[in-house]
Amino acid sequence: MTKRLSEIAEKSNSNFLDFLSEIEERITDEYQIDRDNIAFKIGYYMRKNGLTQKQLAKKIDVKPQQVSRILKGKQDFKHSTLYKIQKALNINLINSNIDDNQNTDAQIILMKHYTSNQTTQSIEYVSTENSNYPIAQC
Amino acid sequence: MHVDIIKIIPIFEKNLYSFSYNDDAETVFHKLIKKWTDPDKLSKIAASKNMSFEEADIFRKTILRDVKSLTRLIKKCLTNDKLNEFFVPYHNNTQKNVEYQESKGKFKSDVTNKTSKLRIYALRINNNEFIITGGTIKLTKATQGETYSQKQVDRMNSLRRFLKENGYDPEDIIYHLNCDL
Repeated sequence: MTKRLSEIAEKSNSNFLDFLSEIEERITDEYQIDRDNIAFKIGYYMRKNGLTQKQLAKKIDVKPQQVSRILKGKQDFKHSTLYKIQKALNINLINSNIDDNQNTDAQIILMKHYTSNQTTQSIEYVSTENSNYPIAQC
Repeated sequence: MHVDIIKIIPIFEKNLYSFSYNDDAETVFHKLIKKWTDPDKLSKIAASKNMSFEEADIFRKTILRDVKSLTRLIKKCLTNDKLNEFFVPYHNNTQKNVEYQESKGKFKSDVTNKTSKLRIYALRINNNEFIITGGTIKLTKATQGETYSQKQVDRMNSLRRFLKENGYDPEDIIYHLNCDL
């Protein structure tokens, strides 16, 4: 390798490993996960309601750029903004009535696997504690 | 025909490369990983596939879990010089080590041991040297018919044709590509 390419490669190594670490951090950081969960729900229902970012921004009286940041999980949510989005999309984003002591030992999640010609279904048991629930298919 | 200037950029030593378009600061690989962790992009895919919200939520969590497996795996392969075990020929039942061979990175989740729906596409420059050209979330068994996945494969093929015709010189990292990638 030439000196120039060696230098680029050396810089790339640390940049690349840093990049991978940043990605891992983003998907394991509890705060970011929570923000992304909300962002994902908003994005999903915005599209299901046939709205664009611009239209949603208009409905909740904010700039489209703010909606873009919200959808990417890059912005902290104000309670008032969440409330307006909740109303605009007819979804629940603020769970103030959840009983903290409710039994969430295990959730049964129905998951569809998309294949070319057929749809198979499997049921995955996801534990919220340290129990070893089986992964079962049907 | 549309002309793109692409830069092939080393992203890890002299084993792993990707490329960027025109003045883009990021390579297609960096963009791909960011896309797979972007709640906006994932909600767009889920809604377009008519998933229920429960299905969409599982879909996203599965993708995030697999991105985590992928980042760990790539780090491991890079530090152990084992990229050639991660990338296999794109076309099944073909011999390895063909020049500029179309390859795919396919892996199992280190949590569930199930094959991930994430695919990385790359061209093999030599035994342990690859240029990542793109990737996809493979939701159907066949790539044909899935527009985005097909586009990613077409891009890999376009770059392969270009390199076969023009040669590949790692010291000349800027190319003018006369095709729609």
